[in-house]
Amino acid sequence: MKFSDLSELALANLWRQKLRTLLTVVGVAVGVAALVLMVSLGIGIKRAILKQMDSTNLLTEVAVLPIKFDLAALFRPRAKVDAPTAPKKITQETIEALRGIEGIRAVYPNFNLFVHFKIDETQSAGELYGLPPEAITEALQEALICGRMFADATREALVSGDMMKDMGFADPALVIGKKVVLTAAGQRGRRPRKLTLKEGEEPFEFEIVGVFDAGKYKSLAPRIYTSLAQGVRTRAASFDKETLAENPGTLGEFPALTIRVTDFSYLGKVKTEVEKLGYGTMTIQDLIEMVENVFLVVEALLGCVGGVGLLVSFFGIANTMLMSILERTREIGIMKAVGGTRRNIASIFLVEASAIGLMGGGLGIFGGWVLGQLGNAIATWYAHERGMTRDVAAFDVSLWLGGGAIVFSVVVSVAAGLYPAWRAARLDPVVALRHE
Amino acid sequence: MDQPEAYVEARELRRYYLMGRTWVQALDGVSFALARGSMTAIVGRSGSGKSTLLNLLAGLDRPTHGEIRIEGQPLPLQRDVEMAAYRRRRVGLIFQSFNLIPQLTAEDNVMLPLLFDGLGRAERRERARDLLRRVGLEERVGHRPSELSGGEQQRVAIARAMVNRPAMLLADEPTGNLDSKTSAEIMALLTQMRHELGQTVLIVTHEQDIAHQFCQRVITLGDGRVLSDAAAAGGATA
Repeated sequence: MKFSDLSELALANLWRQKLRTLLTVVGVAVGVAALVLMVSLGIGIKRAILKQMDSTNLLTEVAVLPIKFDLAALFRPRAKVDAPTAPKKITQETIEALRGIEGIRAVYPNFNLFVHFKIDETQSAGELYGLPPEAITEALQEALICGRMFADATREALVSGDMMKDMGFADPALVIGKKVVLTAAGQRGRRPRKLTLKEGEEPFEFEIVGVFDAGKYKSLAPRIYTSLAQGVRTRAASFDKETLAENPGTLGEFPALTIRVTDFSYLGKVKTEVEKLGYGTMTIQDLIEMVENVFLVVEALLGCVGGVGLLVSFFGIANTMLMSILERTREIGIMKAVGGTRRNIASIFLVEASAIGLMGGGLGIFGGWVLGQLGNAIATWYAHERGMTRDVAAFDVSLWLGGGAIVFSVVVSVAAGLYPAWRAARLDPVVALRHE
Repeated sequence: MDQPEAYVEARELRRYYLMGRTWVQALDGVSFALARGSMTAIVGRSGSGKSTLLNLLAGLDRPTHGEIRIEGQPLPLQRDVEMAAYRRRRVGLIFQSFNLIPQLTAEDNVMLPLLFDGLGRAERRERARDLLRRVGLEERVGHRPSELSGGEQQRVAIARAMVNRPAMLLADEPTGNLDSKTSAEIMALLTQMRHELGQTVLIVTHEQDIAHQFCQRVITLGDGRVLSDAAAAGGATA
């Protein structure tokens, strides 16, 4: 029996029972749509996270951490994870030692402080970063809306435009020249301490020289950037007496360092050298690998949730096919009597099942895609309402996902049709022909 | 009653069924041979085993004991593909209730055996049209069974049975659902087709008139055995 004849016959049979076919197809479509939505959600979120990391200047960056620990390995399937080493202090000496390594362009402390501040008389809170000239990336420069970069070692600052908007300064140009007055500062996770000036010390006041677009720079938290020297000075003032009494070395220690390598090709070598010194390292690649490993699990879980719908479709198809066989018993007898083999009969039903799977799969992918787009539109609208400028693509239906879903849907349908097809093929023609 | 030119031969055919807890002997040792090109009737009361015998010869059912030989070769009863091929190419079946597929047109019904043979559409249609013309239905090719009279439906079934030019035609009460005038027409058509295509024909009927008027030989069954096997009284000749 030719495949073209087989398909034609199967489609004619499905057409005969339009409503039942439609209902079964819709059942499959709902299952496939759920699966597509769930998996595309996983993919979309992963994309969004990876997009945040996707910045070329990050590719030449190595974070130096006091603890040597392969974080990515935690999420790597079947990887042996070494216990973390005892923390090794990161001090000014560490910075000096690292400067000797070949391929390193710059090493600087990486920290941020939680600060309370006011501009004019408006109070607010945010993060303060101290950056050396080497840390001022092209991305940050490109994100500048107005004004200029702060000069090194000066009490100049860059503020986020979104933060200014929240504080009531709608026009970023108008904040240029105003002063950010820090009132309190604290380490991450600690209560900010009121800043007090020592004898003859410069006030913790920074002149705003530029405003950057937070959305464009992919940092949504309210931020203030100033020179490294001012950052270090503010940090020193933020330690409370108890902490210093407990651990007098704290003042000279940094939670982490950032290394910039001269070229991407040095990344691996520098990583090894730093680890030889007893420090942990983290690069964007490590983070990407970690995200990908985590999402492997997340996608599988979301896929399982979505797969429940397809499991329901499986029983729907099996039910439809069994009903159909019951109704067509006599017809099956006739087909056998005129010379149809068991294989022919089974094929007819399997092709019918796979046609249901194909149609349901196609419809489901379309439905999933439409719902995903709708979800993206709503999320984007919500994000814009909240002042974000970016579009949100939480659901990401790729060609690959669509193709995979169709194949999966057909496989599930054929599996559901196997038993009914076997039943049909095994019917005794004498009994079947007597069937009314 | 072996004949030298036997096309089909039944040897000691027995068919038992389990009905509840008791075995029913539908056929209890039936032997005969049919000459090539002959037209034979099997008569008997209902329950005499005639339909069972026909199902066995048609390859729809398997005997409990005994064997069926076609041109000296036993039927490969255990092999589905070969038995299907046997039903498709070597026997044509005609039923009392026509057994046409209601959703298919007359033409599509006739083409069905050719579909399983993997023939191309053009050839299928050509052969189906040819047979429908021979049974006088060239005007009704596109009609569904529900749009045809009983006699017309049986003509479609005859065309379907003959479309693969089988050497043997088996008819189970072919006139059972038809009035006497139409019955005579159908039997005349079968006789005519046999002359044209040279088939061996076996007709199961409970109508003695039909058996004796159109067949050369009449085998009478009773309780699963051959009661008599004689030339037809009507004296129909080959």
